Parts: sequence; structure tokens; C-alpha cells
Amino acid sequence: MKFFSSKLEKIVFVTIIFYFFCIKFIVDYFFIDSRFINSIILVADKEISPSITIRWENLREEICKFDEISSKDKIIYYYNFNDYKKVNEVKITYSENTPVKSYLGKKLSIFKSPIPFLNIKYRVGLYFDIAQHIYFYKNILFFIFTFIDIIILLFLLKLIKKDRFLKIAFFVFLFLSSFSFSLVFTTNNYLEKIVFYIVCLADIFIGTFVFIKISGSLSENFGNIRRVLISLLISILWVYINFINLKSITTKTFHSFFVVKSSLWRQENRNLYYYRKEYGHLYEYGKFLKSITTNSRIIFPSLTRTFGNGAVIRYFIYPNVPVMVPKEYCYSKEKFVKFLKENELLPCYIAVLRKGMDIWGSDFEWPSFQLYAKKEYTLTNKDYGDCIYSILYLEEASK
Amino acid sequence: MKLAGIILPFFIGFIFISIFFKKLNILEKIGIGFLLYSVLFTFNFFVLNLYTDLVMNVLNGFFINLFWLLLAIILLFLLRNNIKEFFKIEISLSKFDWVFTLPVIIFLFIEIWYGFIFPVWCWDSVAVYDFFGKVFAKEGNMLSTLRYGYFEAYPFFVSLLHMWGYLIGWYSPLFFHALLYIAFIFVIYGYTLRSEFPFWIKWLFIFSVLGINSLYGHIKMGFNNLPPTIFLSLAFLYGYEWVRTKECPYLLLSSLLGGGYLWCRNGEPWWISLLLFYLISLFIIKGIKWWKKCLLFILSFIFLLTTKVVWEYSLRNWETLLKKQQRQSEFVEIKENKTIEKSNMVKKEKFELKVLTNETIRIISSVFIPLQYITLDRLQKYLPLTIDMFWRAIVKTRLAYWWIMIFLMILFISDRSLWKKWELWVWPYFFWINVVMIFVGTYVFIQTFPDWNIPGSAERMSMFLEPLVVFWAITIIGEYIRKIPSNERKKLFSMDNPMN
Repeated sequence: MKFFSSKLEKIVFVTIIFYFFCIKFIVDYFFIDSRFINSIILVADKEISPSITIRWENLREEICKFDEISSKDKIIYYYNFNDYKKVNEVKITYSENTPVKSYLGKKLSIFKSPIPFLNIKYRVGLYFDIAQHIYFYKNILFFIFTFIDIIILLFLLKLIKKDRFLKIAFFVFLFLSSFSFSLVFTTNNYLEKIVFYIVCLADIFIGTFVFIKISGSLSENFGNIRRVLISLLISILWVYINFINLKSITTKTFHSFFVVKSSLWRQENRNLYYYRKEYGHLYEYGKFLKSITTNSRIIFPSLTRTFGNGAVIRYFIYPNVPVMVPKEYCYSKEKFVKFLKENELLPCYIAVLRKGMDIWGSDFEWPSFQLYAKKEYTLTNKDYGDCIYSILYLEEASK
Repeated sequence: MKLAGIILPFFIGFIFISIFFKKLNILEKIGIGFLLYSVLFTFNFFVLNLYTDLVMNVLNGFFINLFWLLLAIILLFLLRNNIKEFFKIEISLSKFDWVFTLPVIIFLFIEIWYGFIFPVWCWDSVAVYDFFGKVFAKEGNMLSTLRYGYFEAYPFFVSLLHMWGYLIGWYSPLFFHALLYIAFIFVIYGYTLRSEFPFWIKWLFIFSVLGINSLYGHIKMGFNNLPPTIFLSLAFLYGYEWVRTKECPYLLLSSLLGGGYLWCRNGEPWWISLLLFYLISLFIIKGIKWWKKCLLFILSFIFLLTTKVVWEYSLRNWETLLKKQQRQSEFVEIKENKTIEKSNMVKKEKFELKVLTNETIRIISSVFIPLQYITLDRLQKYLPLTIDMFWRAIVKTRLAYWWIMIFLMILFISDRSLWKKWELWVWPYFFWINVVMIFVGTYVFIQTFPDWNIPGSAERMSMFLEPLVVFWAITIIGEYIRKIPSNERKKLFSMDNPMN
């Protein structure tokens, strides 16, 4: 079967392929993917001085201060994190408990001020999940690009004189491929990109095949529109499910290998594999605490994500019960002692947090002040960075 | 004992389902039997411990199993069932089917094995579900909820299932999640085998369900998201089956599965869509006597809401727990730096019909609470945020399914022949009413919990939308296939039974 009836059709077909596989690739890759879209945080209220914490992809934290700019009669605080490419999360904290207006957006040339994407009055602080917002903006851009694609395609396909049905088939699957590529280019991992690229191509191939086969079979029973829609429905289901499955089959296979391999490990190693990755030293520290005491109250500071989370700690130290000291009582001895007395917690055990124990805030150490404990128990974990685990037994806090 | 604790729920559930729902395929019977019996078993443990002080230990667990097993056997003989028919296997798999089935079995087996050997390690499960499962197993009661505090939105299904896993001696109870998922796949597989779908549509359906990665991923997590999604999805599926076939057992099955859902998660209002659906469908379906309709509605109402009513009633009435608490005063401890206020827990209401009726009325009327948040001022302030959250958590995370849904809607709107079949309205109804409820819920939640910014949590609670879209798509495809004259179907289904 001769696929193209004229030279013009061939040229149009090649142009379409060129457009999708080259131009869109360049536009997506160099224009969208490398640009950091949310780059400025503005705080419009001048009365308060906010501080900003940036959490990087590798979970390092950095505290930055806002700069001041004057705009007419207003003073605006801003922070530009354009240079930080792999920022995951931004947390803004304010010095006072005052409602604040914050904007997260990009200062585009056509707009005088950043696009206000979030405008929330918050009481204490505000978290921005940067990765999520980038994804949101990118999706909007992709949507606009895809819309432009449709118009270009319609224009190009008008030039082909072949069966109208096939034209639509082409149109739909090239459009889908465009969308799939858009999704693919949101990942930063190059290997993943190549794999997903191949998966997308496989999808388009399978989808087109299913589409043409089904639509051909349905031609005697249904009108053109219904034919297109039914075929589309089935092929999209195939395309996407296939897309999703292919993506996950690699994961599933690797996971299966891992499960088989880890069956030979000791149970303790299997526990450590996940617990260390997720909770740092907490599992091993919990075992140490349980070897010292059971059915006791153990004081923990609410400073870090893991060692400051009572709900997680209780799992690892049960049947002991964690008592979480609020942040404001953690830094001075007087306040801490006041907290213990007010809540009638004495005598009690006090957990000691050393550097590196909490992977979500590895720089923290606690207590940062001297306590006169009646007893101190210690253990060195040689298997895990020679970390020294300690627990203090406090009978009275007056000294 | 370890194996008996797993096999018994499958077996007892299978017998019960076989007695009452004879038309189901054997795989459906096994799957639904396990799902519903696990609900019944954990619910029994909860009620008996709370109201009769039955200690939660392995012996009592086996006594409960024994009770239901004996009841099942008595019913079996009283109702004069033909036992041979229960085990009648109507599955004829071609070689091509096996090619597809084997990798599926391998992947699922790997997940069960993973659940046996790895501990529960994901954050939420460690913090809540598995923690309480472990503590219930060690202490033999639920007093720890007083000591540590608990979320009323999560009934104890997952925790009690984990507890049973620990009680019968397994190192990790994570395998129960794999078993629930396998039961779900069994039901889908059995359903397709019972249907008239051609070979490739069956596999399209099964793979589409297996391809829902969010569900598959949750096997390893041990959260309280996979079980409710399974129950709710199947409640929708059998709700559709009820209006398609007009056979009453499917309605009751749907409501039982809905009740199972409410024993997993109590906070979200998806049950409203089911309740309304039962009401509307009973109005529309003809050929059933009015008294029978009333009876069916009452039964489905009871099956659907019993777990919710008892849970909410129990939450407000910890009298039994409190008695114990007074005996063991050391248990009144610190709950996130605050002492538990005893006065909040003392409700000396009796467990009687009047109280339960009041509780039911309160639950139904709570549906209208969100109305107070819909004012122009609030809309201006919170609607953009709601849209943002909705986009991030509900739409963006499952774009593929929204695309499919858009095509389904276009197809549905453009084709009048589909309109006329009112049973096909079931899917858009379930989808859109729940989407609207998610949107309204997000809008209210942003105002009532201003610090709430957990798109992941919202994504997980709305996972049921994905199987819903798949069910909808397959139904529509099946509908078109039925329209093609049988002699012409061969052309379309040339792939049908390729090995035959």
C-alpha cells in the first residue's frame, strides 16, 4: 500500500516529524527544562523581618536573609534564589505572630511585579514546596505549547489529501506524543529521560496500531465521530496504561531482585536497611533506650523532624513513653527546668541528641546546656559512624 | 498457627459469600470473602474488647474465627446448599491467558514475600497504624489510644489487622496489605471471567487495574489508603452490577463493601455518593415490589453505615475504657504535652437503639455543615487556594486518568444511545459527585485547618478515582462491543482466543 499519494504529503509528514522530534525537543529541553521558574519570594509587609530557610535536594538546609528593595513608597523584602537549581522546599518564618502577605513567582519581563501565585495570610510561617510549583508552572506552559501544536498540526494536515480518518489518527497520536514528551522532560535524570523517551515512542507505536486496527473494524457499524472516539478511548487506555506499566515494570523487576536478594539477609539487616534510610539512628537509639529502661517517660526535644516527632519515637521506644519538649523550652536551661517542674515530670530520663543522629537535621545537638544527671548511660555504635548514644537520668533539676 | 491465622479468614469468608452470593465466580468469592471477613473479624475484636472486655489475644482471635466457622457450617446445612457448586471452577484459561497470568502471579507473590520479611517502615504506618497494632497485640486492649491520643478519622481496621498478624506470630504484618491487593485482583479477574468481554478486553481491564501504580505502590507502605480504596472501588463496581442486572444481591454486596470502606476511613464523605445511589436506583428500577424496595434500602443502609455509627458512637462513649482507666490510673499520661481531659470522654450513654438512631441522624445531618463556609468573602479568599491544592493533589498526580475521563465524557455526551441506558450514568455520577465532594472538602479543610498543606495525603485519599475511571472506560467499551452484530464481531475480535 502506497502511503503517500503525492510529494507534498511526504514533505508535510517529514515536517511534522521534524517539528516534534527536533524543534520540540530543543524547545522543551533548552527553554523550559533548564529554566528555574519560581525564582523570587516577596514579602510585602515592612513591619516584620522574615527569615528564609532553603532546603536543598540533598536535604542540606541553609538559612538566608531577605534583602530590602524600595518600590515607590513601599519597602518590600525579597529573596532571589535563581542560582539555586535544586531547591526542594522553602520555609519562611516570621519574627512575630503577624499575618503576612507572601508572593512566590517569577518576575517576567511583561509583568512589572512577580505573578502572585500564592497570596496567603499565615500566622506563623509558610512552606513552599518549590518542586511542586515548578511542576505546576511547567504544566501550564506545556498546555499552551500543546495547544499551539494542535493549531500547527491542523494547518499541516489540511495539506494531506489522504483518508481523513488516518489524518486524525496521526494528529491525535502526535499530539499525545507531544504531551508524553512534555511529561518526560520534567524529570532531571538523563538516564530516565532516555528510557522514558523510548517508552513514549513505543506507546505511540502501539497506540497508533491499536487505533487504526480498531477504527478499521468499527467502520461498518459506527459513524466517523463515534469510530474516532471509541478507538481513541481504547488506544489511550492502552497508551497510558502501557506507559505507566512500562515505567513501573523496570521498578518492579529491580524491586523483585532486591526482595530475592534480601531474603538471604539477617532480619536485623533488613530492619536496618529501611530504618537507617528513613529515620537515621532512631531505631538503634530506641533499642539502646529499651535496654536501659522500660515503662518510663523519656524527654525528647521537638527540634528535628525525626527525633522531634513523638508519634515516630514512641514506635521505637515502646513501652517507654516519649514526652516532647516544645521548641521554646529547648534552648535555655531555666525554661527547660521550668517545663519539667510545671508538668511534674521529674524524675525522668532525658534523651541526648548528637550530631548526625537525625538525618533530617544532622547539625542539631541537644541538650545545649549543662544538666546535672544522677546517671548517664552511653553506648558507641561502631556499625554506624561510631556514634555515641547517651541517656541521662535526672532526679532533680534544681542544681 | 501462623498459616491458620491467614487461611481461616479466606476460608470462612469464602463459605459465607458462597452461601449468600451464588452467582459470583469462584475467584470473586475468594476475594470478596477475604475482604469482608477481615472487616467482620476486626470489627468483632473492636466491639467485643470495648464493650465486653474481651482480651485481644491469639486464643480469643481463634475463638472468634471458630464461632464464625461454626455459624457458616450450620448455615451451609440449614440452607441446604450444594457444596460441590461452591468449588466449581469455571475458569478455562488459554495458553495466551497463562502467558499474561504468570508474570502477574510472580509479581504479586514477590509482594507477599516482601510483606513477610520486611518490617513496616513507612512514616505514617510507623506513627499510627502499625504502632497501635503492635501495642494492641502486646497489651491486649485499646487503652493505649487514651495514652497517646488517636485520630477519629481512622477506625482500627488496619491496626487490628496488623495486631492479628503479630498475634499469630509473624514478624511483620505487612503481608496483609499484599493479601488485600491480591483479593482485589482476584475479584477483578473473576468479574471479567463472568462477563461477556472478549479476550483482549479482559486483559485490557486486568492490566488497567494492575497498572494503577498508586495502588500497587501502597502494598509496601502499610498505610490506611489501599484497603479503603479497594473497598470503595468494589462497592462502586457492584453498585453498577446491581443496576445493570437488577439483581438485589449485588446491591447488598455493594453496601457491605461500602461498610468495609467506612471501617477503614471514617472522615471522608464518599459514602454519601453510595447512599444516594442506592436511594435513586431503588426509585428508578422497575419490577420490584415497593415493600421489597423499602426492605432493600433499609438493609443496604444498615450494611453501609453500621461500622461508621458504631465507631462514632464508641468514640464519644469510652465508658468501658474509662472504667479500666480509673483502675489503672498510671495510664493517664501525656498526650502531646497535654493531659487528657477526662470530662471529654465521660459520656454515660447506653449502647441502645435510641442512641444509635440519634447518632445516625447526626451523621446524616453533618453533610450540610460545609454550607456555612460558602460566602462571597470566603470564596474570594479561599477559592484560588482550593483550586491550587485540587490541581496539585487530585488532578496533576493522575493526569492520565483525567485525560481518559475527558474522552469518556466527550463520548458520553456525543452519543445519545448511551444516554438512554441509565445504568451507564452510574459512572459519571460516582466520578463527578465525589470530585465535587473532594473540591468542597478541600475548600472547607483549608479554612478549618489553615496549616494543612499535605497534597500527598489528599492524593492518597482520592486514589479511588483511578479504578473508577478504568471501570467506566471498560464499561463503555463493553457497551459498544455489544452493539456490533455477532457475525461482525469476529472481524474486530480476530485476536480473540488466539491460541484456540
